[in-house]
Amino acid sequence: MRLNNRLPLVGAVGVSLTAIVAAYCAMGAATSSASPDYAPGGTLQVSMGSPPQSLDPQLGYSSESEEADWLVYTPLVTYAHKSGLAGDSVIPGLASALPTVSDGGLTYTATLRKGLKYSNGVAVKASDFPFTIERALKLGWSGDSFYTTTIAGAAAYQAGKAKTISGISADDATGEVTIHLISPYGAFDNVLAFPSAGLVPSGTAMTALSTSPPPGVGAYMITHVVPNVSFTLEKNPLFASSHIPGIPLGYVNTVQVTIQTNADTEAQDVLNNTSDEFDWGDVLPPAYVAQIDSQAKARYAPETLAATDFFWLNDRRAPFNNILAREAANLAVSRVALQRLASGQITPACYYLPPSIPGSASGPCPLGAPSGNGSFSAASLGSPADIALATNLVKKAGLTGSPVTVWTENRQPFEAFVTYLNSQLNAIGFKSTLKVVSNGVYDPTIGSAKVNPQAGWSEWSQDYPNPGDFYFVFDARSILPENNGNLDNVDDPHIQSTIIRLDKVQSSDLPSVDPQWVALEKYVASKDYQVNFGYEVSPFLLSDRVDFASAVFQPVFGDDWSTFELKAS
Amino acid sequence: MTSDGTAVEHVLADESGVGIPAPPRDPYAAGATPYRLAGRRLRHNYAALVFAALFLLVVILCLLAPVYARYIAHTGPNDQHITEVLNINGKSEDVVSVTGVPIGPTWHSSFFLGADSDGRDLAVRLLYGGRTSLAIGAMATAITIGLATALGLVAGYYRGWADGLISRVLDIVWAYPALLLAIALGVSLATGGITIGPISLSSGSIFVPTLVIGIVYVPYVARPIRGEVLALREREFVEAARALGATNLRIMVREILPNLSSTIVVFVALQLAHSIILEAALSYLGAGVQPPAASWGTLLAAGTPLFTVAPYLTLAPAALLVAACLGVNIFGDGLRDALDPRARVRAGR
Repeated sequence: MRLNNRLPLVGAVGVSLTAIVAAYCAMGAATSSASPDYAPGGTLQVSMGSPPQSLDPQLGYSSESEEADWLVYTPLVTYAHKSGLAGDSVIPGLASALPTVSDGGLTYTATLRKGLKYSNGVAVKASDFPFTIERALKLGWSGDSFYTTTIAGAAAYQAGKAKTISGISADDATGEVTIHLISPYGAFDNVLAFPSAGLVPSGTAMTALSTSPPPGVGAYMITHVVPNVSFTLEKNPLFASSHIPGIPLGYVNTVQVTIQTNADTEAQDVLNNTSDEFDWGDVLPPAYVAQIDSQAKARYAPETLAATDFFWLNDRRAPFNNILAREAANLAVSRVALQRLASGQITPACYYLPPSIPGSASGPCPLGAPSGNGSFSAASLGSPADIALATNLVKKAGLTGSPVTVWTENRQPFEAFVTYLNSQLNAIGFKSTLKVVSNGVYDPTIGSAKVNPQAGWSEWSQDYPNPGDFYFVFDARSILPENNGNLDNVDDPHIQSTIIRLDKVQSSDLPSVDPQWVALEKYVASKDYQVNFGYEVSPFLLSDRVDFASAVFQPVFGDDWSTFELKAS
Repeated sequence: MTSDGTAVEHVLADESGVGIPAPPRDPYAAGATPYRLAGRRLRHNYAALVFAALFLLVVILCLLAPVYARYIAHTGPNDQHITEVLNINGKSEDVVSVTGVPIGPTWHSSFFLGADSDGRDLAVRLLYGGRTSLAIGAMATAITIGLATALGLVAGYYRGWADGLISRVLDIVWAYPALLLAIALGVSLATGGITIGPISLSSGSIFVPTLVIGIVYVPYVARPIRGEVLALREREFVEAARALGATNLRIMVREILPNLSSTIVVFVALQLAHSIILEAALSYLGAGVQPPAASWGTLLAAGTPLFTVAPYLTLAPAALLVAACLGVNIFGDGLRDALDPRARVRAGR
């Protein structure tokens, strides 16, 4: 239908001019240098310790994948490009504002910004959102349960019982996207902020595009991928016109990422300024800690992550089906010793939730069941292992000589952690043996009900800053015959009912239920379900070439390359 | 030697079993058995004797590991002292620092050579690790020599299809580089262990690397033995035994095997060094001895990442490994010279 040609033309010119002016202003604002010594442009050389699982946003779930993808694929909402707790805030991304929640938390509605374009010039449509989620489910994104357990119709679509996701509707004319949930889920804003929900054009192939990732809306675009070797991000020239507040346009023109699996080489390269960033997901070799202290103190900061290291204890299998055995294991472990095994790169802890997560508790841990058979003791973080008391508990439970196999993967410091646990369990009267398996098969092995392992090391790193995400490991619904997410096999009615109740609370209302999460933390500690021993500390180490003062360590995605500015040449 | 104790003339045989003329008569040979002659030659090879003593010293030190651990170091090989503080010459030092760097050699009874990054006494683990490495080396050598001798005897004596089958199987094993084959086997067995009929080896058992090392070296020993058997089976004393109605088994065991003994003795010495080195390599790569058990290979692996701040963690096990292997290797060379199977050894009766 042809109506008035002129009007749209005038409108288009007007919009284009506005966009150009806005883009210029935005570019000027975002690329002006923070310091006279530094200037926009140049190539940032990044070392990555492990290759990304995939750079296709609907496949990549590992931290390496998300670190790159969140700068390339902006979802409806995303996280603030800020360090510390400020970086945990969800801000509007491609949506003009945060989604409105209605229908008792069952319906989320968001509207796309106007004039958005992918890096290939194609206009963004509202219907791209349901397509994106469908693509993630079709490709088997590792975090797909975040969608299938929350969005109505997502599970049916994944199972092939529906052609579309019934719970998502989109109106291309208005740009409105409506999402219906199965049940209220307070952290759904965070689910929408996964890079896997970063929009890709409708019609993108429903196959893995790991070597030629699809176009997205973001400060950068992925231009060249050599699997397991390197990949390149280049500035997206069209992103400036999107003018999304809070999302930087990026300083450097190119981010050249090289996979460097040798942490020693990686550290040496950064100290020598031949690489600009030490992978925050890697452990800094102890040999370099002193060197950094003397040579690179001004460009190094240890960042405590929202990630907890713990020893899981199988609650359904002897001896750890006995609370005394679990309490003994908790008392036998010195958190300070484990900190040293990690070259100081964990903060000792006995509670599960890290300090940056709402609901985290502090103070000595109450060990032993408050109303059960356990003795009452408290683990203070600096206290040494209480071998005498732990040995008595094992004797009291009649478990002296009980065989235990403790599992670990063959990577440091995790192997050292479990070697220590093995030694301590033997010291308190168990007959413990160590089982080391390759890191490639560790998770499937310990997650198999056929193996039914007794104890071992694991960690939980946040998917998003919400206590509900962490309590996945205590959720009885996570107990599965394969890829078991609840390695303690805890099925505690009190924990279960509390999780279900608190999971409905909107992220913005979390402070109001903070005491309830704290109470749950203390309850879990008193049951000794697992041995929490530390919050991971990540090395934020940059080269001399990067403006360390303005570089952001983002708490969810790590090093924020879009905030890295290089020295003026 | 024949079964009646008469020594026979050694003739070097190539792979096809064709005899090669033997070297001139040994001046020591008059009126002595081959082993007595070898002993005389060995006594004059001072380098071989010194290195044999070095090897023996390492073995004795390792055998005394429990004594050292209990009465001198007062700690076990797997006891961790991560947060302990030592008083060294009036100065307090952490066994493992807050940044994970272990204490260096104290030159005192405790932590004489320092600690590893897990806070364990390095000297104690070094000696216990030596026991493991030497035990694996010895057992693997026994497996290699036993299997290789049996296969070489059967293949060389029977020839025909038995030889063809055994030789091709050995060729297949030989086609893979020993280290790669051992890594492949070691990694797969180190994960799940192995069960063959009533024999079950758990993944952490030291018999897993022992078996792996024992098997991968079989072709390297079996083929020369087969070659020698091919030559020996044509000798007159074998013909005589056959004419007297001896069974094949009796001929192999009583006539041919004794004449292989000097070759086997030389192989034992050399193979022991190879097995110890391969064990260290496998354990270094995580496919051999499994933690927390110590071996020289696992100690080397644990020390490597800390080489710049704690070089003794790498140098100490490396030194013992070199001492043991050099000792047994040079002694093996001396033994080969003494028992030189190429020499014409005649009883002279």
